[in-house]
Amino acid sequence: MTNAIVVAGLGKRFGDSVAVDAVDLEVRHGELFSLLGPNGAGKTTLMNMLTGLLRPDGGRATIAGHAAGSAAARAVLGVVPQDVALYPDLSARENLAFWGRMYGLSGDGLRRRCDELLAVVGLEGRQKDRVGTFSGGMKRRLNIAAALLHSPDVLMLDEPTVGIDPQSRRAILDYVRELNRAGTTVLYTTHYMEEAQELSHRIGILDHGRLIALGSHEELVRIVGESDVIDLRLAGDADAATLADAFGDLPGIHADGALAAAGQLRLLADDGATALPLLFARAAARGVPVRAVTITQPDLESVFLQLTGRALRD
Amino acid sequence: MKLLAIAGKDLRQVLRDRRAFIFLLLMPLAFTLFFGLAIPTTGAGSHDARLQLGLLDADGSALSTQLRRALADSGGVRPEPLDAVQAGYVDDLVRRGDYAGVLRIPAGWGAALAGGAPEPVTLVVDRSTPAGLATAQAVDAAVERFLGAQRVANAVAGATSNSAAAGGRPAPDVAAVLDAWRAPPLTLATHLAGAGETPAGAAAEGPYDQASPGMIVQFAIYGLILSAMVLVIERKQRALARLATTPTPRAVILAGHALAMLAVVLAQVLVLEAFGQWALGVNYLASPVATAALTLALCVWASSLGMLLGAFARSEEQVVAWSLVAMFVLSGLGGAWFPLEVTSATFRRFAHAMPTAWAMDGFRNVLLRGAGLAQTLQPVLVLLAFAAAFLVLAVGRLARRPD
Amino acid sequence: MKLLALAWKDLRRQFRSGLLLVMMLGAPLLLTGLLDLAFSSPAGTPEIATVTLAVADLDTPPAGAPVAAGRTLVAALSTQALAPLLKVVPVDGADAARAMVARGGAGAALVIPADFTAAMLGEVPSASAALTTDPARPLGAGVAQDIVRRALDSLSESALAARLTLQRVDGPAAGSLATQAAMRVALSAPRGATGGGVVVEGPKGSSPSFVARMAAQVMGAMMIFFVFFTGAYGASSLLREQEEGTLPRLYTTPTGPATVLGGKFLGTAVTLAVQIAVLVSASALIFGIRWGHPLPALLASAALIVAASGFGVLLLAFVRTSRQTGPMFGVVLTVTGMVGGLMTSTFTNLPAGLALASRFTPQGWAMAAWRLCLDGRGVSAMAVPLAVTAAIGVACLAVGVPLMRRRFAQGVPS
Repeated sequence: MTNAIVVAGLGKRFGDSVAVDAVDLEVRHGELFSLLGPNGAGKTTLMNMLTGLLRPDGGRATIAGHAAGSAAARAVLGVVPQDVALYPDLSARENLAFWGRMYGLSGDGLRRRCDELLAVVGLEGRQKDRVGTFSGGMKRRLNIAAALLHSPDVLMLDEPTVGIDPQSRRAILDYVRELNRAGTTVLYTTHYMEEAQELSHRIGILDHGRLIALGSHEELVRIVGESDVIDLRLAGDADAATLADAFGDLPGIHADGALAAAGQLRLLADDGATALPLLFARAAARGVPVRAVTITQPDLESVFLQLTGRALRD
Repeated sequence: MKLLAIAGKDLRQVLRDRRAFIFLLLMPLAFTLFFGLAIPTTGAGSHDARLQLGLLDADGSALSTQLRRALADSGGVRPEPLDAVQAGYVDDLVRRGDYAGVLRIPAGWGAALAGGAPEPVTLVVDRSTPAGLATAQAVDAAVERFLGAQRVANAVAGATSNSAAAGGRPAPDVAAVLDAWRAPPLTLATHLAGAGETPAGAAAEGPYDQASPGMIVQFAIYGLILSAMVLVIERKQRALARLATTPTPRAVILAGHALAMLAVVLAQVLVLEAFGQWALGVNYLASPVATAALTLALCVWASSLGMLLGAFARSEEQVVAWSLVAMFVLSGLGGAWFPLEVTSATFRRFAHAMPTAWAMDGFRNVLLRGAGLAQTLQPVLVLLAFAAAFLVLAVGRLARRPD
Repeated sequence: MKLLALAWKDLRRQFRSGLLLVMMLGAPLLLTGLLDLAFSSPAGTPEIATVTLAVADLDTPPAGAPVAAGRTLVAALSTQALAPLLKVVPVDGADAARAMVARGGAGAALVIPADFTAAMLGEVPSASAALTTDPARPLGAGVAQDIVRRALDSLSESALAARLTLQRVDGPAAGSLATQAAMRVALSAPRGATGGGVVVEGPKGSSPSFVARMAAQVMGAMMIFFVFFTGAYGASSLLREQEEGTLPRLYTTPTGPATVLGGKFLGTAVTLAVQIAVLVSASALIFGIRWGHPLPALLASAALIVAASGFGVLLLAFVRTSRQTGPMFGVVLTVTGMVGGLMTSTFTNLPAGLALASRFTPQGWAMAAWRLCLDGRGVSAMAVPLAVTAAIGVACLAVGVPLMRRRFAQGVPS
């Protein structure tokens, strides 16, 4: 079975800055794949090349075997843009009917799909109202529905949950999972690691235009190893960075990848329980009181930290 | 101080918008110049605004030549002989407006007139047009002079025909009477009312005496778009509601906004008046006190309209749409485009329900009559009354629903 | 199919926007209505308001004078026939009469001098009556001046007759002969009865009244003015769609740039056609405007649509964001419309420079075509302005479309 999305050496520069740097990626049929990365990592640029909105400088990509951007590729692809791209002065139904026609639907088939999707996104009651009068969550739901009219084989969603209420977000995540269960291949970009973690079969981590990690959640977490994540909250204006340096020679503590912010310090340790007394002692010796401490199991956040030395949400 | 802070903030928002310069100054200047150029006047320096009168003189006598000269001297029409080709299309020439009228002088006209049995001339003219009416009047007045001369010659001949006292001296003919007309017993001297009693025709109404105040009134309304927009945006973004949660009294908040609008429109009008005074020769300084009172009243009223728009418009789009409609209706009906004197009776009745008509009355009083404060008091008071009414509506609305 | 869906979507959006409806349909009809109201009258001719004439009769006839010329003049001005035009108000003294004009209470003030009758009788060479007019009401002043001058002239005629008689005869009978001559003039048959005068004919060929023609010209001009706005707005909606993300989204569907841009053109053209159709039929119904023959009107509409959408596409090349479109289009279209003569469509006798300048704008040519159409002319008479209007539109498109393709054929500006 061929892969739904194949990306080989895909690259794009804007002037001097490299937005996407020779990315290789394969998304299997029926897979729910998340692209995780901080803002500006190149997720949207990569997405735009896959949907044909941007011409890559190098490499190639296919969607269901068709060259990305070709009419054939676009016919099997559903795209949910990051911003709500709908006509505010048309009603919900008029918007769906319009976008359906753009995917080549018409007549009864189109009407039926509109009915189905309005029901799915819970907007049957508001179908005749103008989209401009909708709440943010309603617009986002309709934004997704507009990409599904032609029952695409591959669905790409570009940060579909940015800036909406928890309820709508939950509804969207559930719906994406359901679509995937029904057989739709999903490429999902986000900078919320919880979403990636919860939804995906596999996750690719993108940073500065490069794919720095790829694998299932478990595989990725294993990169961090069997370590614990220790968060220290320091007193007031304590200099976390200096303290991190002071931890450098402690055994079982990876202070070189520590993340220091005002009054906060996060680092990885082989074993949290044995590391803590050492940390406390060193901090006390430096005259830095520790106010609170938490030990957690590693997550994607710590993976990103481990790989880049930065927090995901910088 | 809070008042000034709010007004200052509004002003910065308005002036930072680069469109401000275009809306407030460039557009009204372009319109004023254009209409000043386009409106025909008889004043010196402007183009020949006399109406074109086509002339078909089949007579060619000394009297018909004299009639042609009399028409040319009348100041109202410019007689131009038509060629043979044009002679075939007289009706078309008039219907299309190429000529305001065409006058046919029949062969033998002069001889008939001299012989005491005058024959009519024919004027082809569309009397439903102002130009046609004016042409008919000018031709009628000129021909009437010739008929009058003939009547006089006739009367003198009749009264003296049997008199031996004539001693063989010939009765004066039409030409002689026309000659005597050069020193008529009764004359009419016309003056324009106002300071100095200018002789009529010297510098009656300048080309910009209508266009300059008209465009000032029109764009005082148009310029509100920006100020009203600030208020609407403030309402939409709930900044007005937020301001209301601070210990700033509501009255101060609204007065601050109104003050900013007043400052903008006042600055705009003053610049336009200065331009009119020094670049276009419109005498706003004929009565500085009256102009000042009128300007202030106009600006107060215009800003009250801005407050009204800002209070009731629900979106920026509505501000634009409503300001446009307000501008068209108020300046059109108010006589900003053409003097109300030339409009129909119905229109004139409607017009003075518009504050703009009063503003134009006031400006015309100052510019053309050189009227002082006393004569501009009525327009000023009417404008202020409108302003008060608008402000009550606007404040009532904003106080009830700040967002 | 997709093309139609795209065009239909644009059409629906445009006609749903309150602002656009005001600009497309409301404003031109409102402006024409205003002007129609301003100048229409039951008689179909321009209405002139009755002028109030304050008259101070200072005339003191010499003892034993057979007439009081001042009183004769006042009587001549107060006849029933002149009543609709002139309302004579006698006042005491010259100052009172002039003050009435200065106050705005009268359109003109006439001061009849003390030696008026004396001049009439030849006892002084001449006398001058003074007419003071209100500069703020030049039209009424002109009417008053014309009436007073005619009345004075007929008195002058009598006086001239007397004088010329005295020049011809000597002796004791001279005085009575002079009076007789003067009486003959005064009593001579009313004007027109003796023949002569002016026979006024209207131009042949059916032609609507001046006000109807003016309303038609204003409507034509306003239609052109606002059609150009709609054309520019239609082109700029592409920019808005790019900013709002619907254009990139369109390019993620299996719909190519040719279809998307074509749909935009079709949508704009249909919007313009609807706008013209509504304005033409609404103004025909409301103002009774006769728009000429169907084929010329159809061709003039087509040329206008091409010119307006072409000009819009060209203007689009000069704006970067949709925020700039409002002021940019407003200024350019108002200035070109103004120079094109759309604000002065009813002015006759425009300076030659302005008439020439209008030929440098698409609106000026479009107006030239519509003027002929309103005149009921045929296609052949309109050929030149029609061709030039359409050619300007095509030229704008030739420049603008490649720029537009380069800018909008990709979903994301790169």
